[in-house]
Amino acid sequence: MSDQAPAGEFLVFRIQGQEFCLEIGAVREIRSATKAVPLPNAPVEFKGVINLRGTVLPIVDMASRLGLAVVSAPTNPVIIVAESGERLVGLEVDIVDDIISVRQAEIQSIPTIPTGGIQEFVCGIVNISNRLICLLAVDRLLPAEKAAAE
Amino acid sequence: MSAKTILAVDDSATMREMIFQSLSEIGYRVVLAVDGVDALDKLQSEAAPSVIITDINMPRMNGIALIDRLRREGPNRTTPILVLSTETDADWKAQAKQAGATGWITKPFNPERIADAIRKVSM
Amino acid sequence: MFNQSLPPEVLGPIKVIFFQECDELLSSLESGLEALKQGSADPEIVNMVFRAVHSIKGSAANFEYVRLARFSHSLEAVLSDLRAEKLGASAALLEDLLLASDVLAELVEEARGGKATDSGKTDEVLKILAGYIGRQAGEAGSQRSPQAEGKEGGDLRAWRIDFRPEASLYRSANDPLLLFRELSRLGELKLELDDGDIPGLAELEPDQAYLSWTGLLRSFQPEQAIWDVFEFVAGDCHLNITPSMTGGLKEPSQKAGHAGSDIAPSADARSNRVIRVDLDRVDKLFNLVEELLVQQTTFNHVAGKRLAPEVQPVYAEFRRLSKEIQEGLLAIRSQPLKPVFQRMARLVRQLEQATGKSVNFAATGGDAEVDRSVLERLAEPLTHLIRNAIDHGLENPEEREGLGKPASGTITLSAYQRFGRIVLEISDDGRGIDRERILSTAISRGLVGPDEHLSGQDVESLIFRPGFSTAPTVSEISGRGVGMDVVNKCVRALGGRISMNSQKGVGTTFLLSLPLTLALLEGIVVGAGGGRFIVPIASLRETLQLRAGDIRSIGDVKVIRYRDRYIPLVGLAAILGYPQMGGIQNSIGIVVEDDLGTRIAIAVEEVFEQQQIVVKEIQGAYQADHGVSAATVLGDGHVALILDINGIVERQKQSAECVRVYGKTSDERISL
Repeated sequence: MSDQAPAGEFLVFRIQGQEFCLEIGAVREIRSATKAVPLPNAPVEFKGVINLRGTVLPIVDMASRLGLAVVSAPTNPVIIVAESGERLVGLEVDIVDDIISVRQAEIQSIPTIPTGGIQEFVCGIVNISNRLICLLAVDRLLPAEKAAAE
Repeated sequence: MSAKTILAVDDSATMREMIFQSLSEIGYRVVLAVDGVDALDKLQSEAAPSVIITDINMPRMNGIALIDRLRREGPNRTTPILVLSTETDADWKAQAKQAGATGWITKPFNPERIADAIRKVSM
Repeated sequence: MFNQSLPPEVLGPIKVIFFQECDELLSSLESGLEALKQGSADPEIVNMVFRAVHSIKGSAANFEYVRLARFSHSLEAVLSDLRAEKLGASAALLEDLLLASDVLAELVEEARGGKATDSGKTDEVLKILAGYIGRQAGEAGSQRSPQAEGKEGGDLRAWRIDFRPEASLYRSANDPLLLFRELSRLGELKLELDDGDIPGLAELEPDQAYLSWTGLLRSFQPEQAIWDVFEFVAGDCHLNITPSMTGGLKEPSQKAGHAGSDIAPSADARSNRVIRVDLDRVDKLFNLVEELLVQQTTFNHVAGKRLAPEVQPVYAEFRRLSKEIQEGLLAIRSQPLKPVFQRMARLVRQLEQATGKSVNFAATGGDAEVDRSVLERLAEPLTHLIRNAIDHGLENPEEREGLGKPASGTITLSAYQRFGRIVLEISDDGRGIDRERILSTAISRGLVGPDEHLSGQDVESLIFRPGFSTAPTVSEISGRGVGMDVVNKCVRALGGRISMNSQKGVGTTFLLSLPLTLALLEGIVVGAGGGRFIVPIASLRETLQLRAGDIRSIGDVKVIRYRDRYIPLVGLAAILGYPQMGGIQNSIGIVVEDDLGTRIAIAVEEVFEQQQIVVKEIQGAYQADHGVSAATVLGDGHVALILDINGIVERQKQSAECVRVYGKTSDERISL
């Protein structure tokens, strides 16, 4: 694929001041965060579930999931309803910025950084007009499937 | 008489689908039937086909009986009938001939061969 | 082959149809063979059985599933002989045919992308089949080479073609003109007509053949190519193809045949009133109707009280109609148990071979239907139970005879609906379960205290506890000795219960009670810790108002008196790890019972009405042991978590390790 060919459109959002983005095809909708019903003994990044027009939607606290230190709590968090295959998940983020068009040349692979954790979810970096936007892979963000106890 | 209609009779859904797909691709209009009785039904309501393709082993009315019936009376006495079957027993072939089959294609087949055979027996 | 001619996006869906069809055909093949085994003499059944394999063979060859095609070909040959009555339908033959049908099913699975078959076993069965037809197994059957046109280069040769059609050639709508056209594609053709046989007009019969031709063909093509042109009409004409300048006559022989069979009523008359529907579509519809119902409840919640009196019944009718649609969809999703039973029958046959034991297997109630959410997960526990029955339950033939039992063991599987649930009984007439052995094993594994008093039923239910297995050796057949606790977990996960009834020396019966669907359940909405929860009715025993005086303590564990016993009391909020609002006193106690019969009381703050709950799985898999199995959306839009009572009882037990209070009456001493 030519470098100048468009790679697609991406939704950019911010968590604790850092910019991230998702491929627009994976985004179902965006809504204001509502209080989630917590599940007992759930991992800390799993906020709970909310009702999405009859579907029970799990909500992931993205700051927690990505291992970002919380400096200031967001006032009006937003939930990005994303899908991976058949599964839906709600990603709670601080604020949604905009949708950008990106060319193939503008996506770089992530440099190796000693900190563990975040690389798990990032599949590239979008480098445009001096911004550093981490491209996230939705399927890696979903709460891990726990195998049924045998 | 429609120049490009084929009636295909086979009790296997898979077969019907395959025949439909490959013949439609080359431009034929394909009418499907699940067995002999269904075929007679379809012939009543549809325009006469240029060629009839039929399997031998089917419930209710098998291929031989169908060919026999078609050859005895009705508008399809002279319609070319191709038998498409996995039967390799010469006995069956003879029976089909006796009943009035125009030709015999053994399964497995490829679309080109069917198309060829259809061309061979029709104008 | 088709694989190369059709693009993958077209071929893909056709393959799906193929495998669906295979499932149906395999099913009728099995039932047909079973019927024949039972002694049915209906020739249509033999026909049906033959056609099933015939169809599979035909399509398999087209998709180039070579092993499947070869095997079906051999099996078809035997069935063909059976149909032609060259073979008698002996018990031995039918057994072998059933065995072959199992292998066939395995090959279909393999073709579908499932696990690879055991080629040794396949070859063995092929040999058995070959024995019946006295032919080399695996022959592909004579097939015409499609390589007629233009594949081989060669020298230019001249051929003389003598061609005289019979009347039958014309009757079958063949036209010499078209044949000659074909010939002329092979090379240069010169034709000469001989019309010398045409009689005078008076004797001329229009449907007789009087014409013949002599042709000279110059072609690079091999001789076979020329014969192939006349392939269709070989029996309806006199045909000679000879290299030019040489003589020699060849008469194609023509076998005498008789007219084909008449219209025969079919054993499985294809009903035109059945259509195939993609299950995904049904599921989507089902989900939509669920959303519709939720919306209606929300509507009622929001506007219900404000509805004018004349509007109320209209809304009620809306609601009723939606529920009917929901029930209708559930009915569509419901499928009979029969395929699962057939799978079990296959399993029994496999195990017979593997263990050398002889088993009579009978299944009844295959017509009973369950929603596919349950059907999909039924096979697992049933498989374990049957494996255990054959492996451990049934004695081997010598032992049985010594005991005065028939050499063949009997296993029966029956299904019926009862009180809105589906009940499955699996019984065997084997050893029965030795209570003494269970008790001693349980004691030796520390599951019960040595001087604990347990009723007969209690002892029997010990086998469902984790870590319990009485098999001294790890049996190859049962895997690593699948214990009853695994079965229990499976059944519980389905929302069901399992119980056992056994008599030493006589046999064992397992009773499985399962809900008809996993999609809906009846429950009571309760409130605790600021959230809403659902207690399934099936687990609910009673609701009590708690007063401070009712609550006693044993060490750290709070208990209340219920019927004659003390049962533990836990705060729902507390046990799930939520902030507790207010104390346990003056709350409401919900007495629940888990599938093992253990009862506890759960303290909640509020109790609401009972309703039918639509079960929504929580995506991101959740262990039931945590106390929550799924969730639902209530009328007011709130998400309520559905409690898993088994999980909650487990958690309570774990938090009360040092004290056991079950089974103690109020005036017995409590041992620590």
